[in-house]
Amino acid sequence: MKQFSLLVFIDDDYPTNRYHEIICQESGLCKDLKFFDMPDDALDYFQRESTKPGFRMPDLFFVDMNMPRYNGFQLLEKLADILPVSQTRAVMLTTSDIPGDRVKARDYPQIVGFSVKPLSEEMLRSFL
Amino acid sequence: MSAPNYTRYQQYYLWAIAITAGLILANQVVIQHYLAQKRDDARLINISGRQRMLSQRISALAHSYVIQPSSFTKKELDRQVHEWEQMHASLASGALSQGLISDLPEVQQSLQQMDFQVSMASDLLKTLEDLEVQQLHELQLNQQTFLLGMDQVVLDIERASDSRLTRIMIVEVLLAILALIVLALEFTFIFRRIIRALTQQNRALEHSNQMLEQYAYASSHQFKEPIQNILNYTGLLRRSTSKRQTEEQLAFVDFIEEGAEQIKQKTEAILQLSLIQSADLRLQSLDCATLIHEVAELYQQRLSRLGGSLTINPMKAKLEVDEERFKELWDRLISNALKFIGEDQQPEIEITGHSDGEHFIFSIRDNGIGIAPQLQGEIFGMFKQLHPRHYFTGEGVGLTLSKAIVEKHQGKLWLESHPGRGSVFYVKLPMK
Repeated sequence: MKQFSLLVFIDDDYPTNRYHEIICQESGLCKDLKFFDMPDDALDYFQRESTKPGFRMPDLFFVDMNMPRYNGFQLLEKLADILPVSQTRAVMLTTSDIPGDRVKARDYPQIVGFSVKPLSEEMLRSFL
Repeated sequence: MSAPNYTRYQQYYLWAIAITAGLILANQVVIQHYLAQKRDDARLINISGRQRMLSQRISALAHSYVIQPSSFTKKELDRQVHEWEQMHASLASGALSQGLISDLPEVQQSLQQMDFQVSMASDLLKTLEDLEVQQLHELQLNQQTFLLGMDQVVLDIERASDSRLTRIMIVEVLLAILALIVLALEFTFIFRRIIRALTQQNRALEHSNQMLEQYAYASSHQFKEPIQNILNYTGLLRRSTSKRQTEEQLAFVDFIEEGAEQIKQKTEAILQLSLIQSADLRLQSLDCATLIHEVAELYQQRLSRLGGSLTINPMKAKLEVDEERFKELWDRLISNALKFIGEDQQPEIEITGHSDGEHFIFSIRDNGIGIAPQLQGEIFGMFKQLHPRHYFTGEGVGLTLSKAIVEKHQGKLWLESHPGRGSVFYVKLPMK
């Protein structure tokens, strides 16, 4: 069965992260999961780990659009300084589907999708 | 920001208008008074000229009578002399003018001096039959003196009239300067102040409007996440432990879920409303009939299941609309037409459109339960529902959002309806 080997969630809302964790685990579609409540923690982590041997590039980043200090786009820009854009695939998570956001997302080649929270098993499957 | 004091502005305005009107009136009074005097002066000059002419005529008539007496010449001469005397008396008494001219001492004096000439001429002419050449000569000399006197009178009147004109011109210039000063003062102390205050209030209103929009957007956006969390976890709660839960506990979870779902939808509605109001429309010239057909297509399955029908009459409607919002509008209107249908009734919906030259007017008619006239104003209000929740689904936002979309397009949305006889909703959009 096809699986994600590593999914990374960057969302400042802990209950949402926890819920997504449960959905991922129950779906059996994900091997490893990594959650960050703080955008800076995620950036620090990849800054530190990306140079180490054996670093695994995540299959997908799920990035919340609204976080303190950064919005989703700004976080992707910071991440682009650390990880090669061509290998980064990101899904933007939002609570409200705002047309302007989708238009802006076209400027970011690493964005492969937009999802209104919460994630469901079907949504996960669609990104496989 | 002080509270707007409209009463004070009104007073200011009234004062400004009253002062300006007062100036105009004063100006008119001066001008009219002067014009009336000028008319009197002109009449006096005219009469004086006529008196001179009469005296010459009398002289000539007397001459011709002495040379060749005729009853016609005599009668004519008497008439002229009579008129001449009368006019002189009127002039001298000042009865012909209300002005000051005939009261001028020099004019009075000249006229009095001429009394002698007039009575002398009159006396001479009474004994016309006995007049001799010598007396004719005297009469002529007398007339000569009279002419000179009248010349002086006319000259005096003209001089006085001219000096009055000069005075009026000065008064007019002063009045104009006063009017300009008053206008400048009104502008400085009244109009500029009002403009400044109104501009400030306008800015404050715009700001508070923006704040409200932002507030609606931000708060609804912020509410969504926690509400979604409640829903996420009630879902998990029901699933994971249902075996160990009593029916009552499950019912409680249902209530929590239902409440959260309502908040979620209402929050979404507030968010949508603020987005409709604040975001700019992406206007394109589109065939609206095609867009309505596209939306109607989504309802075909449901309609055939219910055994109902939806007719869209042919229309030529190429209008400047935002495609997404326009389709949303018709989605909401059709959904609304389908929703309020009596039990066991088959929905029949008819959509029409026509142009009145300036606007395009769409209508959507249903055979639903209708709305009493006294309740029609309420249905466009946010979260307004005329029926208990369990009776018809929805959050009472469809028509609010529809109205907002139509108004954002500079249009108008209204309805005609009677209970039991269905409703017709009208959408009027500018054609530009």
